[in-house]
Amino acid sequence: MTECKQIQDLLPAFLEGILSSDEKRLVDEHLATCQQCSAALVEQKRITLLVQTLDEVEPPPWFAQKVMSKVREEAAGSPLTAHHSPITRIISRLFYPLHVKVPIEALASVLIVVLAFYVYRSVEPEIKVVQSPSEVANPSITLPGTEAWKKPGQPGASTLTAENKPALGRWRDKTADRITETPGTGTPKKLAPQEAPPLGSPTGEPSKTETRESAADRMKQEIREAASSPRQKEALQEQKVPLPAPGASEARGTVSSGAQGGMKEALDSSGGQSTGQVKTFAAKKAEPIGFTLRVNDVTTAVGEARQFLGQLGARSMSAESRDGTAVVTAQLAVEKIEELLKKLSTLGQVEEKGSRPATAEGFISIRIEVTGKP
Amino acid sequence: MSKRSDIKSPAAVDEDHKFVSACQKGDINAFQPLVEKYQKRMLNLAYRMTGDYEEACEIAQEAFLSAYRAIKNFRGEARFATWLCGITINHAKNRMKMVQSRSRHEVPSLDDPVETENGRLPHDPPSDEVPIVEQLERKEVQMKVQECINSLEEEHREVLILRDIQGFSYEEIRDILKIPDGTVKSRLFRARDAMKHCLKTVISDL
Repeated sequence: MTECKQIQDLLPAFLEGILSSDEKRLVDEHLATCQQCSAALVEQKRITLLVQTLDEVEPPPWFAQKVMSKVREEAAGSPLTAHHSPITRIISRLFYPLHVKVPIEALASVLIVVLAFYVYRSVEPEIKVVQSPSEVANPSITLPGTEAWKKPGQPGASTLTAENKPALGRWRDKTADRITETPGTGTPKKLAPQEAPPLGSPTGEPSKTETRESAADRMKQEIREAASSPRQKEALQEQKVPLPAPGASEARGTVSSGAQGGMKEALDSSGGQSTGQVKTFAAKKAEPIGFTLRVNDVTTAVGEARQFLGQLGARSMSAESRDGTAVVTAQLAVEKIEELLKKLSTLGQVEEKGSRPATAEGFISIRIEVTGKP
Repeated sequence: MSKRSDIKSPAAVDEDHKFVSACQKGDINAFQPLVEKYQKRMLNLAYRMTGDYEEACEIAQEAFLSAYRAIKNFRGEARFATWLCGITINHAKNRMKMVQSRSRHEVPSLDDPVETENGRLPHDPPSDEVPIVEQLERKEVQMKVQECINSLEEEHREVLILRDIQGFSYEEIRDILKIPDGTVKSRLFRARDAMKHCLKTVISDL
C-alpha cells in the first residue's frame, strides 16, 4: 500500500511526462500489476481533463477600446508621451515626484538662508554707521573737544592714533563709541562733564555759541563724511596726515608750555586736556590784545612778565627779542587779563592796544611788547 | 493546451517586443495590438482566480493600465505575456482581498450576482451545437470545477491555474510568482491533490 501511495503521488507528473526515465519505468511496471493504481490513473486523467478543458470566457466587445481610452487618458496626464503642450509640461514639472521635489526645495531653502545671512553681514556695518550720527550727534555737539578729534594733527587726535591703533582697525564696529568718546584718550564721554567744570568755568559764551552754531554745522557735515567714507577717515588717521590746521601746532604748543608753566594739575586728566583744546579753539578765533610795557630793564621785565603769565595759567608762551624790544605772546584766559594788567603795571608803564573781547570766558591771544623807556 | 501555443511561438514573442518598444518610445497606438492579443487570456486568468466575470473584466482592465504605466520598466528579460500575467495575478489577489474585507462589512445587495444552489449563475454563452441536456450537465460540471478552484488556498489556486489552465511552464510560473522551482512543484502537487478530493466530493459519478 505504501508503494501504491508513492506511485499515486507520481501520477500527475507521470501524466505531464516530466518524470525521469527510472521513475517512469517504475510507474509503468507498477501500473501493469496494480488495478487500484490503474484506476487512480484514470481518475487523475479525468480530473486533469476537467480542469484543462474548462471553457474560456470571451471578453466583452468593448473591452479593448475601453482599455485604450483609459490608456490615452493616462498618457495625456503623464510625461510618458512626447506630444504634450507646453502648459501640460509645466504643470507636470510642478508636480514632480516627492523624491525629486523635496531635495530641490531643501537645497533652495539652504541657499536662501545662506544668502540672507551673507547680505545681513555685509550690510551690518553700514547700518551701524548710519545709525551712529542720530545716536550721538547731540551729545557730541555740546561736548567739549569735539573739534579736536577730527584734526589728526592735534594732540588729541595724535594720541588717539598712537594709543588706540587696535581700535582703529575696528572702525566700523566702534564708530558709534568713538564718536561719543572724548578724543585723545578714548575716555568715555561722562568724564568730560566731570572734568570740565574746574577749567570750564572760564570757558566763555563765545565758545558755546561757536560750538553750537558753526561747530554744530561742521560736526554734522563731518559725520556725514564719516558715514559715507569711514575708510578714508581711518586711512587719514592711520597715516597721520597733518591737516592744514593752524590751531593744531598752536594747541600742541599750548599743552607743552602749559605743562611747563605749572599747569600739570589741569592737564593730568583727559578732560582738562580736551577742555583746554576747546578754549584754544576759542582763543584762536578772538582778536589778539596787545600791551606795550615800557620798563627800564627789558630783560628782567620779560622774565617777570613770563612769570606772571605762568602764574595766571597762560599757554603758548613765547618771547623774542629784537633791537632792545622784546615781544612776549601767550594765550591767556579772558578773565585773567585784568590781573595781568595789574601785575604788569608793577613792572612799568602799560598801554593797551586793541579791544577786549565781549565774552568773559575762553582763552585769548595776548601780545606784550616790552620796550625800554626812552 | 494547444490553444495557447500561438502566443508562445518565437514569431509572436518578437512581435510583442516590437510593439513594446514602440510603446516605450511613446507610441500609444502600439499598445492596442497587445491589448487585443492578450485581453482574452488575462480576462480568463482573472476569471479563474475570482470566479466572477464582472470582477475579472475590472481586474483585466486595471492590469492593462498598470502594464502601460510600467512599460518603460519592462526590459524584455521575460516574455511580455509572462510579465503581464504577473501583473494580472497581483491585481486579482488585491481585488479579492478588497472584496473579502468589503463583504464582511456589507449586507447582500439586490445588485449582487444571483446565487443558486450550485453557485453563481454561469456567464458563458451556450453553444448551439451541443444538445441542451449535455450543455446543462457540462455547465454544471464546470461550475463545480470552478467551485473547487475557488475553495483552494490562494497560493495553490494561482499555481494550478497557471499550470493546468494557462499552460505556463514551471520556469515561467517561477518567474511570474517569483518563487523557487521546488515551491512551484510542491504547491502544484498540493493543489492537484486538493482539487481531486474536492471534485470527488462535489461530482458523485467521478
